Amino acid sequence: MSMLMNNEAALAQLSALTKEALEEKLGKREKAGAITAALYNSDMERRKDILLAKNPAGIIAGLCALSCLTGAKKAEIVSPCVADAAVANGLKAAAEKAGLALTLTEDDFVTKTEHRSDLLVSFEELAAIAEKLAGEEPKALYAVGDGDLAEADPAMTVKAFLESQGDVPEDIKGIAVDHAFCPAGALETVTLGQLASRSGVIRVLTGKDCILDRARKEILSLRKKSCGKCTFCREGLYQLQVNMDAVAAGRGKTTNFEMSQEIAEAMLVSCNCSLGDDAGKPVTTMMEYFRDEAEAHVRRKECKAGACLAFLQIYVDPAKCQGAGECAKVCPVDCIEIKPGYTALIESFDCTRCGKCIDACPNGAIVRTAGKVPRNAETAVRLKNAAAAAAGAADADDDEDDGASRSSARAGAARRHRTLRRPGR
Amino acid sequence: MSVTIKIDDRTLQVEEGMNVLEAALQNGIYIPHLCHHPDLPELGSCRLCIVEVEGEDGVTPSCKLEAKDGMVIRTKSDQISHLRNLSMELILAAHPEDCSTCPKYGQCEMQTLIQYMNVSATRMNRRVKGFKMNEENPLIIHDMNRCVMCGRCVRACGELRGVGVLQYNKKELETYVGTLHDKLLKDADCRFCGACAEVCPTGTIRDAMNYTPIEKRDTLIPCQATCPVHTDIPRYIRYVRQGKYAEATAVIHEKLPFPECLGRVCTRACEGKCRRGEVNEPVSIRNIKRYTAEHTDNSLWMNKIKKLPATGKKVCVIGGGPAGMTAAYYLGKQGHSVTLKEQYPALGGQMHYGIPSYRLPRDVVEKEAGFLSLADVKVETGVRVDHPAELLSEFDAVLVAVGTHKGVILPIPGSDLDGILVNATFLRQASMGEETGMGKKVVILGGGNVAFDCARSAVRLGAEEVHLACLEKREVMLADDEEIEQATEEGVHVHPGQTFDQILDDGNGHVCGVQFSNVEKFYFDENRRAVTVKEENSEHVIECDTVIFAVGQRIDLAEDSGLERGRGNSIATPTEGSLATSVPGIFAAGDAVYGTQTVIKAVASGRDAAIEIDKYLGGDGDITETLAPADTADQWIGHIDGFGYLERSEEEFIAAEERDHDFRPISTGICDAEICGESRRCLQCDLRFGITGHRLWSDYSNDAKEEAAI
Repeated sequence: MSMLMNNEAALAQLSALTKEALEEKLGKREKAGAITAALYNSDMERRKDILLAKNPAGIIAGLCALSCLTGAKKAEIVSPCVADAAVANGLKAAAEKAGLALTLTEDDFVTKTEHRSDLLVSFEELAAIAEKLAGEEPKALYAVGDGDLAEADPAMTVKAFLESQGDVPEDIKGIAVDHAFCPAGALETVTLGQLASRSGVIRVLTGKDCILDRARKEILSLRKKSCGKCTFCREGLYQLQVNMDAVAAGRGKTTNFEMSQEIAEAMLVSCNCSLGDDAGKPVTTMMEYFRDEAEAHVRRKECKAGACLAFLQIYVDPAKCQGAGECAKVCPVDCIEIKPGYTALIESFDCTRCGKCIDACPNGAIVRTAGKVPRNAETAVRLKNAAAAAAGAADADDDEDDGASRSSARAGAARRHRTLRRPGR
Repeated sequence: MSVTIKIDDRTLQVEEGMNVLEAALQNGIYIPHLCHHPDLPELGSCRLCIVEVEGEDGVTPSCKLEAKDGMVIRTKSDQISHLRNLSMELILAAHPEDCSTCPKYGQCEMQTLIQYMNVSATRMNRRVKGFKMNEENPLIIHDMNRCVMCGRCVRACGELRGVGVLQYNKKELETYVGTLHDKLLKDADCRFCGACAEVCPTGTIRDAMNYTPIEKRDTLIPCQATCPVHTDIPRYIRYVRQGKYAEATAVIHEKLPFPECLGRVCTRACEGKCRRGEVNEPVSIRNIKRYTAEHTDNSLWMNKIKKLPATGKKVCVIGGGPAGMTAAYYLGKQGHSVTLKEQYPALGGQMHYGIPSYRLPRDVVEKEAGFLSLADVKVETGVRVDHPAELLSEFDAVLVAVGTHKGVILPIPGSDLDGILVNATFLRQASMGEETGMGKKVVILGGGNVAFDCARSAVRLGAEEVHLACLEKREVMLADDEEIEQATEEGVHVHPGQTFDQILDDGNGHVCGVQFSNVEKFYFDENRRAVTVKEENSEHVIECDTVIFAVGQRIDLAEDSGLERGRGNSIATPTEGSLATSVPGIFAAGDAVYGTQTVIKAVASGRDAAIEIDKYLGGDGDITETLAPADTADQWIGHIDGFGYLERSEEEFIAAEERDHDFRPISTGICDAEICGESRRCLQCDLRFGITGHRLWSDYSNDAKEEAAI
């Protein structure tokens, strides 16, 4: 039987089992007023919601078993999926058949203080209970990236699982799972069972993924979902964001990392729900396994993966520029200057690294790099082709006088910044 | 079951399962805390109360620990200090730095925590939450920038009170406490009970009015504070809401003996200050009092009245009005032998001979005057005393409470003609069914309630035409609006803004009219003298055959009474704060001392006199008694839809045409169907005083104080 298939057998088994028999199979449980089933608050992937649609019988069987073990009188399923009529009806039908008092609540978050006397359980746990009832050993549920959820042997290593789901990139440097980062080196020894992921979704990190950028994205998504009641989750995430943003913007100091690590480590033991428990992990695992890459942003002003914009440069290769002017037209901040007869020049200070000019250039002359701008690209140079030269010669007489540029909005600013050097004669 | 736990170096015996933080705090061990509150379910989110449990790694919030036998707890360690301080730094990073400009300065729990922990947010990136202070709600200010998200207000509103108006909202990554859809409190069905302000440890949710700790109770329960006898109004209204009229009346009787009378005529200073009035309209307190007094047989409180053993001392009270009766009643209960001498045939004073019976039926006065017998007061009616000092040979103390039963006649031209009547005499004669000498067309001079009593009595006595004229303009007339309206309905012609020029003689020494001029301006100059500016050429005459002066009353006591007299010929009480007169052993109370005021003020004066006289006679001066059951109010009050919009119920009056020809009572009070609803409107401002107060480090052992100093 698969946890992703409707486990009617489990429901059937249930009616035959006494409480003692259940305790033998599943272990004893403390008393509870009600059972609340949901995904963990920290689970933003919500891949395991699919269990509600695919295995309603198993879910209900799990709820019934737990009700019997805890003495709970009612059960609740909390998920945005219950808004889907088909899913809701499937669950309600199974509940009615089993004689279970069930409420469906459309929400993506469980406030634990509203369930003080309830047993909180995940959908996977319920499906696993159903497997046990049907006499099977439950497997682990995992997915790679946006792929489908698959069942796998918990003893399988992460590496083997990744390989089973498709090609593993050559330049894999680690994985991101449950807001934490894991280095590539560990993947060959850590098993799926040891990983014990709540969301079940493993995302592969390659050379193109900047660990700091990923950490910032995790922090932002955690801040968005956080309920804000716990001091460490609410304020801690804010401090982490400000610190990491400073680093990503090129203003970082080592104190940003020291402070963030101190706060993140404290967060691991100072919150009340799974989201809070995970909130510190992006920073703690980044510092534990990818410290060099992270600190390079400060120590060497370098973003190895080329993702943090502050460490990127976009420049016009004068060898390729034909003076088409398409780049200046699309620049949203008007930071590209084109004098007639000269190559385009990007003002680095104002450039937001949006990259629109790169796509606009018909000659592929604009380059984005994580390194420094080459010397020959620091100034505009005379265009080599004849027509442009002719136009340039005609203008050459007057360009000495006032240096007027065709992109008029930039004129004053260009003079202000004084980064443009007049081409020598 | 009791278990033994150890916290630092102290061994404690506590109930099994008790909250460890509470156990510590109650046993004199201070552990800093913010989100914990003994009356609220635990949250465990602030992380200040963390402790180490022996045998376990790491730290746990002590508010989430339940005491188990043999538990060993450490409240201080490097790990604890680090995490606790870090938590405070994080909280302070989002908290405004301006302690000194915050209205909560000096009364702020957060401020004491900062002081104790000596931590600041210098290592953190500070942020300003960017909320505008919300002063749009009545009574409660929301200043969300100061919020530390302790969650106490949400739990207090939801779980302690059962109202649930405050919740967590989130806008653009910022979580804040607010109402559903950020509605105004009134629209969110807030009950303005103040529990949120009571538990808030910062200046975030606070009362709109500032107060010092000493002023707090009087500011927040203004009805009780402003009542001259400080009746526990919220408490008796709560009983009325529950239908417990016996208990409610008992609460009232703890402070005053005449709830049924006052329920009809009290000037209700309480309603003027009622905080419900800031929400929509004040609670109809007087009518509720009347209703409850009418719906009990009084047996509950009567069985519990205080009656001390006989002291052997004798007191004589002169005057059977509210002041005298109250003093006699309390002195009698203190064990003294009291004789009350009243000059008129019945007890009541102004209640019987001043206020007309259509406002205060005489059987009600008689019934409540009857309570004096519970105190074994001997009543002698028809006895007038002009020389109180003579009584000192027979009595150990004398109280003069003769009121102001002599009306004032202004010395204007014509004030000595036939047909001139005066308020006090007129009302007394009407009350006693005696001939008043009133004619057919009456002009009453004066604009206060007494003037209207005269006017409306004149209507009922059969006058054909009744006019009332007074100096004040309509907006500043002293009489209640209700009186003016009802008098007008009954056909009284009201002429505000008139000076009384002269009373006209018909040639035979009898009144035939009054000449008035319109007032253009009326003010008091810098010497506090009244200045009236008349309109030019505005003289006019109102024809009449009777003029009743209703411009004031004075004491009716012989000039040679032997007592020093004060302003307006009142009885002087030379010592500040004392009701003793110039003659030792003789005291004075009521209108006779301070001039014509209200019934309730007279009751208060009577109580003060009883206290002072009791002390004078060797007693302890403690006239307090407990008549109501000793139960505490339930903190849970529940949600009421549209609470802030519930309208005030009024008493029901008989229609003008039906009521203006006899002295039958004109009001039946609030009807049965509305009494419960009206009492439900009360905000129960006293309930928040039942919430456990903040525990500050400075309340604890000297060790705590020493630590904080480091």
